[in-house]
Order: sequence, then C-alpha cells, then structure tokens
Amino acid sequence: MRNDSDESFRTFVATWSPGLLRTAFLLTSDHGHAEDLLQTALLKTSQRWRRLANPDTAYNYVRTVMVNTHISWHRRRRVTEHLVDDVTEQAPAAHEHFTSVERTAAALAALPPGMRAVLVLRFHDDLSEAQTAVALGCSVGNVKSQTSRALERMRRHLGVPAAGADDTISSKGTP
Amino acid sequence: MNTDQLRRDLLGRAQQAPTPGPDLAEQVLQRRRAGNRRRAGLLGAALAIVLVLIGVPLTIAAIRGISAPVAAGKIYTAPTRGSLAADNDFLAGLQQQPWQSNESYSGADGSRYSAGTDLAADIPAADRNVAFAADVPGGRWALLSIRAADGYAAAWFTGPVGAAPDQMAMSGPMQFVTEGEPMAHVDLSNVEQTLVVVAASGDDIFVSPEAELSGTGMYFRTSFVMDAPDGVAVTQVNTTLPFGIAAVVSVERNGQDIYRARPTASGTLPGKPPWGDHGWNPEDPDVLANRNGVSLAVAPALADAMLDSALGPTGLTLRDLSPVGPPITELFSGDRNGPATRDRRYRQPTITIWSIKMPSGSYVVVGGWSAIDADDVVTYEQTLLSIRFEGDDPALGVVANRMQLPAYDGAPASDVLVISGPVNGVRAEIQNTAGEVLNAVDLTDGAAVVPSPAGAEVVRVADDAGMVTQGLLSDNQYPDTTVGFGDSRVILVTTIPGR
Repeated sequence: MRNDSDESFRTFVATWSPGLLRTAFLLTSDHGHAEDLLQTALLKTSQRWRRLANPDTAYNYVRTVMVNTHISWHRRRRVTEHLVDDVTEQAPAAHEHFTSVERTAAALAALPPGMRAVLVLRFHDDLSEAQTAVALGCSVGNVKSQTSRALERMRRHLGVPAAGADDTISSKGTP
Repeated sequence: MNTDQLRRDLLGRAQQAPTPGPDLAEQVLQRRRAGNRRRAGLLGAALAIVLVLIGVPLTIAAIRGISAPVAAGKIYTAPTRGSLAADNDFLAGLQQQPWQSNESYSGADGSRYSAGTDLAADIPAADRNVAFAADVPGGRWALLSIRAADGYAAAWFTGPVGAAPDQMAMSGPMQFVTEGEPMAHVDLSNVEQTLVVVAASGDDIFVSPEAELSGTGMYFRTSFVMDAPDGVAVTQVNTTLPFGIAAVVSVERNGQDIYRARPTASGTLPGKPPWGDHGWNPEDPDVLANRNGVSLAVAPALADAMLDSALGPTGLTLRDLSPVGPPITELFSGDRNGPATRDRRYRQPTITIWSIKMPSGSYVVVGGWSAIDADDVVTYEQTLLSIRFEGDDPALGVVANRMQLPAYDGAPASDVLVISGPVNGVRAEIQNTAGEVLNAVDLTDGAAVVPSPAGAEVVRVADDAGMVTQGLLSDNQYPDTTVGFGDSRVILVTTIPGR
C-alpha cells in the first residue's frame, strides 16, 4: 500500500470504525471479540484498499468481511467447545428483571450467526432487503426467509406471540 | 416483539459497544506489513524449490510475467508460442488438418454446419494461424485460429504424446473470439487433467480450482497466479470430478480484469457414469436420509443435474460431505398427488426435493421432477436451487416449490405447489403477501402437493403440538459461481516442464 493509500485508509478507519465496531459488537455480543473481528476485517480490507475506490464501497466490504469472518470463527469455536463439553449458547431466560434491551440481546445471541447477521443488517444497519442480499451474497428471497425465521425464533425465545398474526392454522380450505 | 421494538433494542444494545482505539489503523497497517514480509519469505522459499525442481534459471521478472512483452493484447496474430513454436514442419502440418468436430455449429454468418463438417474447409492452410503448440502433460496441444466476421474462430487441437500433425484432432467446441480474448481449455479424458490458458504476452493469468460455499451461503474463490511469462499457462486441475468443472480462469491485463470464465472442456469425465453407477445410489442410507422410509426413483439425469448445480462449483463429491451421517436429506419424494407412502401407487412424473449439507454447514436445496417412459426416454426439469444459511436446516423448516408438471400418463399438465415442512407437520396454510389465506391442506409426513394458487408467497405449517413454522416460496438462485466475494489471489509458482 503506498503512502497516500495508507493515509486514505487511516482516514477511513478514523471516520467509520465506531459504526463498524457497533455492528461487530451486535454480531459477537462481546467487546473483545468485536474488536478482534473489526481489526481482522480491516486487515483483509487493507490488502485490497487500492481496488476499493470510495468509502461506501469500503464500508460495505468491511461489513461483509465481518459477517463472514464471524461465522467462520463461530464454527471453529463450536468445534472446540464440543471437545470439552456440549456447551450451547444458552441465553438467560426472559425475566422481568432484565430490560428489553438485555432480553433482545440474549435472544439475538442465541440465533445462528447467519440469522443474527440478517437481523443486524436489516434492523440496526437499516439496509433494505436488496442491500442485505448484496452484503450477504444471497438472494432477496433468502433474506426474506431468513428474516422471517430469525424473528420467529426471537419471538419464541422471548416468549411473545407473533406480531399482529394469529399463530394458528385454520381448518378451512381445500386440499 | 415487533420490528420497531427490535430496532430500538438493537440501537440500545449497540450503545454498549466499545470505542475503537485511536491507533486502530496503525495496528492494522503494521499487521499488514508484517504479513507482507512473511509472504515474501514464503515466496522466496517457493522460488528456491521451483528452481531446484526444474533446474531452469527463472527470475522474479519472469515469474511475474513482465518479461519482454510481444504486442500486448494480441493473441491470434502474435507469433506461435509453446515448446513446439520453432517446429515449422509440425506447424505447417497442423495448418493442413481439418476442423472436424463432433458438434453442430452455427457459423458467424448464420450458416449451419452439421457434426463432422470441416469448419475451416474454405480457409487456405496458410491463413490458419497457430497461436500455441506445445507438449503438455498427457499429450500435444495446439490452439489454431482463422479469420471470422468481427474477429476470429479458434479451436483447440489435441493429440497423444509425440503426435504427428495428422494425429492432432479438434478438441472441444470452436469459439468465436476477438483479438485479445484469451482461451482456456481442459481435457477431461486426459488423466493428467491438463489445463492450458493462452492469453496475450504480459497478461497475468489466475486459476481458481474451486469455489467454497460459506456458512452464509456466499461463494468464495481463491485464485492462484500462474507462471506465465509469455502469456501461456499450463497447469493441472484436479477438482473437476465428478460434477462439472469447478475451476475458473481469470486474466488481468494492465491491472484490469479482462477475462473470467470456466475453461472449455473436451472428453468425458472418467468418474462420471450415470447416477446409478456411482456407488452412491439413492437407496443407500449412508448417502440419503429419507423422511418416511419411502423413496421413489429419481431419473439419473435429474439426480446428476441437481448434484451438478450443488456440488459442481465446489469441486466436491458426496464423499467429501458430511463425514458423519448421510450428506443428502430427501425432503420430498412423491408425485402430483402427494408424498410417496407404502400404501398407494404413484404416477409419473415423480417429484424430488433434496437438502445437501455442505462442509461449511450451509445447505443447498435442490429439486425437480422427472419421468421415464416405457422406451426409457427421460424427461426432467430441475426447478429448485436454494441456499440456506448454516443453522437453518431445511428439514426442520418449510420448503415450498412451484413446479409446472407436464401432461403425462393420462394426467393433464398442471401447476403444483410442493410443500415440505417439519416431518411432524400436520397442516399447511398458503398465504399471499397480505397474509390472506389462499388455501389450507392436511399434510402427510409433513408434506403435500397442491394446485398452486395465484399469488401464493408464504406457506405456514403447524405441527402436531400446534407450533407454527413459516416459509416463503423458495425462489431459484443460480448464483454466478465464477466469481466469489473477496476473491483472494495468492502467489503460487506453478511450473510444468514442457510448457
């Protein structure tokens, strides 16, 4: 990376790393892992910095690297855990002592990492379904279905009924 | 919880995130520089190994493809390249050979040529250019071109080791190309699995042996830089079997990507007999887990098509998947009347939906219908390719696929919706995007086939405990697997004597 590239990279990091770290924190639920994740994603990005012409492109690139890196870390960690014990990511039960934010954070942490990423990108980073699909390299339909399933799991975890929906199946209709 | 509440909570949670350190950028840059130094050391070691192995005095400039450029961007008017470039008798003999293919062609002028026609019969031998001729692992290869409207027609010729010109035959399809357009070819019947890329002198050539499907359903590719100082790369790929070609070739000219494609292929895959001869037949419980113990026959052509689309880009075989447990879960097996059961007869075409678990934990869901008539004529259509994230097991969720079944065996053509829910699902509701119920149906072993209502978008399945699982009609995804997010390119010195 040439010196002028180094300088533009430093400017990018100074400007955008707080927001990226917030996304990393939502993905990992852990301060240390979030910082590691962001630094790893920035390292990968720095290696392609000359090809990433503008901050928007770079921001999206870092975010996508974070999502994928996080999932690969999750996989490795899970394998390690199985060697010791079958430790599952059990979130604390919904309880009145916990705030809504804490309960949501626990339910989010209990999701598979891919579903967690979809919710974070859609409802924290405010990406549209199409933008989320681009970020994750999947179809809009896949984002829709993942969002739907992730919300369903969140609701189950939190013990709340589906929003505005009757969670029963009618007995009417014809086969 | 509604999504507004979720937004507020995520925002609140994000406020608890740490603040980046002021030296974050500097730490990253230092790690990057340290990594570069390590890679430079590894490259030096690799170079030393190559120099010892092939005993040829290579220089860094040669490895990086910056040696004396010949007319950059020219391929089909450039002097012949390759180890036989100076063998004038061989080249002259090559120019005399007929361009006879086993395939039918449409010419650039719209004329049709049937298989066996000499495609270059009207082109004087002297006007046939030999762009490349060399001894390569497994035989002799050449790339010839002739002038065509708006460019060139080019074809690969291959022959056995030490072949005379009249033993060289057209291999694979003829292609219409422009002057600077590279060509890449692999001979699948050649046990060496030789891949040759002919680009312009000075071009950087990269080969990615296969794509990798991540846990989020994204395709990744790593490309290796070939040793191609004169714009010709010869290497071997071993990930093309048994399902299609996983390798992708890309070429960079003056820092710009100018070409990215799977190589053309000739010959047949020696490891690709019909499905039933794979030794992984669909009735093998080590390969395919069936939901209710009843599985209808799948036409080998459909099975191959589904496996091609799921495994082809990755270069994996079924044996590479799921070392513990069957790699395929059959989500649906039945016909237009519903899932197969032991107590009813079925009619063709049969319908199949599989979930294939990939090494990353993501799933590829494939499906379609197939029919085999009394004369063994097979008709089939793959209608579904959908990718699910790691942790989102399709067998525990809802897969719904719309299929247009042909008229067959006295039954009329019909549009059906094939539904596969959790195996304990008892009833399904089909809704439009507004949540209106269009139809509801009882399920057998969690599955059903119903006429496809217009506007259907959502399928909700209730199990015997009243738990509801929701799914969208699966849309087909045929991602471009020649590209992969974050394409990384690494330096690997690949040199094959005889290039």
